[in-house]
Amino acid sequence: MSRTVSASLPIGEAAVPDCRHTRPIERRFRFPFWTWAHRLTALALLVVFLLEPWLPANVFHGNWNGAVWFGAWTILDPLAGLETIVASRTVSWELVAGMATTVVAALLLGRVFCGWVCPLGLVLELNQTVRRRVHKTHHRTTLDSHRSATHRIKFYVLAGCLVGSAVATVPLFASWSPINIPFAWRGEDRLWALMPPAVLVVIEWWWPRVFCRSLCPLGALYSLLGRWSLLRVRITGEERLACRRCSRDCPMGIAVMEDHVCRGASSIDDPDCTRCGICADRCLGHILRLEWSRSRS
Amino acid sequence: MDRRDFLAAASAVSIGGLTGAAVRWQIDDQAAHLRPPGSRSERRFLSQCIRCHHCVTSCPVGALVILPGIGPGAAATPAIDARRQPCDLCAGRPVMRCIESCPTGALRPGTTRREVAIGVARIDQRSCLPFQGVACRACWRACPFSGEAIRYDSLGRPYVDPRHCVGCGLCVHACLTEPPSIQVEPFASKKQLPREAPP
Repeated sequence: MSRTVSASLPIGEAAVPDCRHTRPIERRFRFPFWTWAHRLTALALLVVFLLEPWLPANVFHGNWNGAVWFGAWTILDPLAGLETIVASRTVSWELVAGMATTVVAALLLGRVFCGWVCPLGLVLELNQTVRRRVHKTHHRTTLDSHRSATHRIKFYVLAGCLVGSAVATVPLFASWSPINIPFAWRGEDRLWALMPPAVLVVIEWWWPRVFCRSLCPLGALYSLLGRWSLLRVRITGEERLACRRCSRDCPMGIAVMEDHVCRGASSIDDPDCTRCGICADRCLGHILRLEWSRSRS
Repeated sequence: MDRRDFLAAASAVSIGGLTGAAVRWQIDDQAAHLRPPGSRSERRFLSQCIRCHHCVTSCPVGALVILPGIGPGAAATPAIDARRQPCDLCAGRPVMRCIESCPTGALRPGTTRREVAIGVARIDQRSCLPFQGVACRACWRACPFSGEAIRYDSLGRPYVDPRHCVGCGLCVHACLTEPPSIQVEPFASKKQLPREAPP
């Protein structure tokens, strides 16, 4: 059974005995660098993919299942690639080479696709931000989220996609991906292609970011690949102010303070962490840093 | 893994398998489309095509179109509408661009122009002009393998030799009648692939 923490819990010893105020909290404005960085990167890519029909082919062409940059660098969606392998029972060198970029990036950087690249992730995160301003409360943070049942569902969806693709002999997520459909749709009434993201935006008014946290099989695959990543939010310094802004503002519902900072961890090693850096921007004690490090601790 | 995890995983796999079976059953009923050169059969092509549309972008004559809709069947896959714009097998260019651009091998790399097997042309004798006594050589003139894929019998009527026809559709585009008296029948499954001598 997962335990949840709501935003109305009192800060301090009653909630988290190992964290306490040791000095007055200074509230200075600090530019939220990582927040802007990851959203602008995802926005830039979203714009490029939207403009794809008008871009010259030697600059960029393709969609979220497969894209070619500058006529030379092919990047394939790893889930779509895996599905074609199990659907057709064959592998080709081109396929492996195309998947290499995303797979290696996930191994080194973790689930950065979801935070820095995915257009649906950007739309849903902005949706989440608007919802927080309107509702003036935050969604529940799930303690030990990587072990909770709701976060595990996406791995079962991933297994279902792969088994289904093998039985159907066609790639299923590649055909039904809510990430790719708005870009790959051709035909009349192109506005219908916006249905999947629109439905998710509506649903997520009640369950924020539920798609990314609980359902997306591509996110599940990146989460599995990113377990050993060297890019992480590191926890530095001795001071723990227990302001709880990191847990409160984490888009993926990771209990940053309760599960990581207050347990003395040296980094956030939750597989759902998309390295968006919001916790690092918000931290009042300035102890969270999004960093690359050789050591895996 | 506790019992609840096992049940959840087993349900996911079962639902995935059932969905896959339903999808397979549905797409088996769908008619085959004319696919880009380098593809083998409809069934095999659909299993390898990642729906990235690189072939469509790279085709220099715009012969490939993206089929409309969403779904695991033919939707969002590339096809040739031979009457609108046939595949000219990249005549005069060093390689066939679509085959070169396919990142998954759905269009098999290294396929030569003669090895292309996307369908076989079939002549409708009820409307074909030479069968009505009117001399016409439009399909023969358009065919890149005229004399082999399209031949004429002693009465001046054309016939297709499936051993040599690659299915490019240039004849369909050139046919003078409307609707065209020659159509390409794409290969739905591997079983149709080996070419046999005409009866």
